[in-house]
Amino acid sequence: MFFSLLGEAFANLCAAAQRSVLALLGIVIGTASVIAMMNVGHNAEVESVRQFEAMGTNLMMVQKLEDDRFARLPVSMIEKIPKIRPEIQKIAPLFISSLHLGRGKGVQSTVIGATHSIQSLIGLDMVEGRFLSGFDQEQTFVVVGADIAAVGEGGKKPLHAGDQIRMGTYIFTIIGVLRETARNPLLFFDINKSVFIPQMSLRRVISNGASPVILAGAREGVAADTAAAALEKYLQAVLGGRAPQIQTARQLIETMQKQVSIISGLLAAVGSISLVVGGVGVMNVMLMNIAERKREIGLRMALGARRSHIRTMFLIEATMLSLTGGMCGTLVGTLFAYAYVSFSGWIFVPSVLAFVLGGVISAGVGLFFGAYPATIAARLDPIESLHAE
Amino acid sequence: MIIELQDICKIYGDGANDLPVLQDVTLQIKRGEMCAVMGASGSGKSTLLNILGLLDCPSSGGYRLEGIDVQNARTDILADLRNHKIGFVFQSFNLLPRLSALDNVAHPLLYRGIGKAERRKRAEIELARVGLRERLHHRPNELSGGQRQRVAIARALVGDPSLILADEPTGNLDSTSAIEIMSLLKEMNKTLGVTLVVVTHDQSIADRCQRCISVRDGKVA
Repeated sequence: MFFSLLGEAFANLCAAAQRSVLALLGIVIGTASVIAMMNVGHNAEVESVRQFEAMGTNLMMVQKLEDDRFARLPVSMIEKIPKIRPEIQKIAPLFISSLHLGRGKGVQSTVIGATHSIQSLIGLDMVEGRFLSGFDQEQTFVVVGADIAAVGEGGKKPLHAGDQIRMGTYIFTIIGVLRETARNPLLFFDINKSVFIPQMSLRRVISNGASPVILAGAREGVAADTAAAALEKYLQAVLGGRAPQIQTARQLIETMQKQVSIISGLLAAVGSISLVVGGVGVMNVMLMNIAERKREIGLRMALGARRSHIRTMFLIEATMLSLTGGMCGTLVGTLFAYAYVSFSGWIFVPSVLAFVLGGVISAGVGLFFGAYPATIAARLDPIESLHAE
Repeated sequence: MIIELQDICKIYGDGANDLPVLQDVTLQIKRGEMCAVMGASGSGKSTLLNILGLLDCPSSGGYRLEGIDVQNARTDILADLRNHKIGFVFQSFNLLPRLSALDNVAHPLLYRGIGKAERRKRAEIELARVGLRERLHHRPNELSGGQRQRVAIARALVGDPSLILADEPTGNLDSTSAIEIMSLLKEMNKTLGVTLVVVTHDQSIADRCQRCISVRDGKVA
């Protein structure tokens, strides 16, 4: 019986196809929003796990240090912090600026005044040569990132260890080339597009304005937050004034999740409004169908249809209408989520739950908004309906 | 007796300005009878037919259909009784335009929960009976008026009812088709033994029936 009614409902819908399609728009947008929300949320989850893996959970960065205050803290003192604060295992002070490499057009790069400790802290692998050492001091030595090495000076030929490169008014010697690394979201610069030079030589190429940054790694078994708090306390004690700003990988991911939850909230709002609008559209189509098919309803009743048969038939029609919209919406929503995820530079993993939910939501909307028209149809008077035009 | 009406009254209105349509109608129709119901428009003959067909409830009085008291039956019971015991033939055919002749005829069996293949098998037998074996898959708009009414008669017969109610069955047909349809109804009445009640205002049709019931001003003469 149910399947017979299902087949009838399908044929009836096809007969009113044009009107049905228009009513679907709301359902499509609504379901699409919900599906997009689910997928974006799901992928944000996947992405945060992936980023934790990429960054390591123990890395933290002290940023926006005021120059004059930071000047009171010599590099040698910073490097002693792990001995004073056991929560910190490794620490690397950096001075970061940007610089045009080479002659003429040259190539834009991030220039980082570093010490050797950065290498083990963020795991820099060498393709050629060696990294900076504690003995380089004021030498005009430079270690270049993978992209810089590949492009070369002004895009002519790749750079190798031993080559010379012009930096400002100085000629530096390349002592090492770094292996390509994945973008670390905690760092605001791309290592592949950076060059590392000894901190003492930075003054040769950058007169002022290099931003001081401290990268630190928490000791194993110590939570990054605890280590960050310890570092903050220490720096505040030494430097005085306001507490420095320390960002951990966890905070970064929390920020990302906050953004995703804003997007999700927006999509949920759009989704629920559209679903209501779509549901009202379905209701409208059903009411019009019923008004048009009064005679048919009267006939069905005369032929022996119970009121429940009429109600079920129209409920099925409404649900099928809504489900069709739901399927289109699921497709659109997945595409939107794919676009958003790709744009954010994440890897897209479709959420299975979203597909199930898309079907359940649209069917639910059909049932909910179809209930009223179906009840109206079932309560029609058979004689009046039979004589309707 | 297939139909027993006892003091049936039907009053339309809200009490203040009541409009009595049927007054104290007492009527019996025997199984296998072929009756005409005659009357001018507004005489109450359509209301009488609706009450006989369980589509309308009388305001007072008793109605037994095949011995079943239908006066106080629930709507679901009435629907099932219509489905099993009564076949309707309408003036305007009332076929569903989207369905083929076969599916139109099979339609009433849908509400008995019979599967599609079985429904179609039975519908085919009925269509053959009314002489439309060659028109199974035609849609109503591909059929002539007479053929459409034959489909409607097949639909009325498919559920093996004991009573067929025909409301002006020839009203929309030319005279030749009208004669054919009346002959078909009469034949079904004879061969299948199905009770036939035909509402008409055409004396020549009434003459073809065994019995004529006249309705005038809501009363059966």
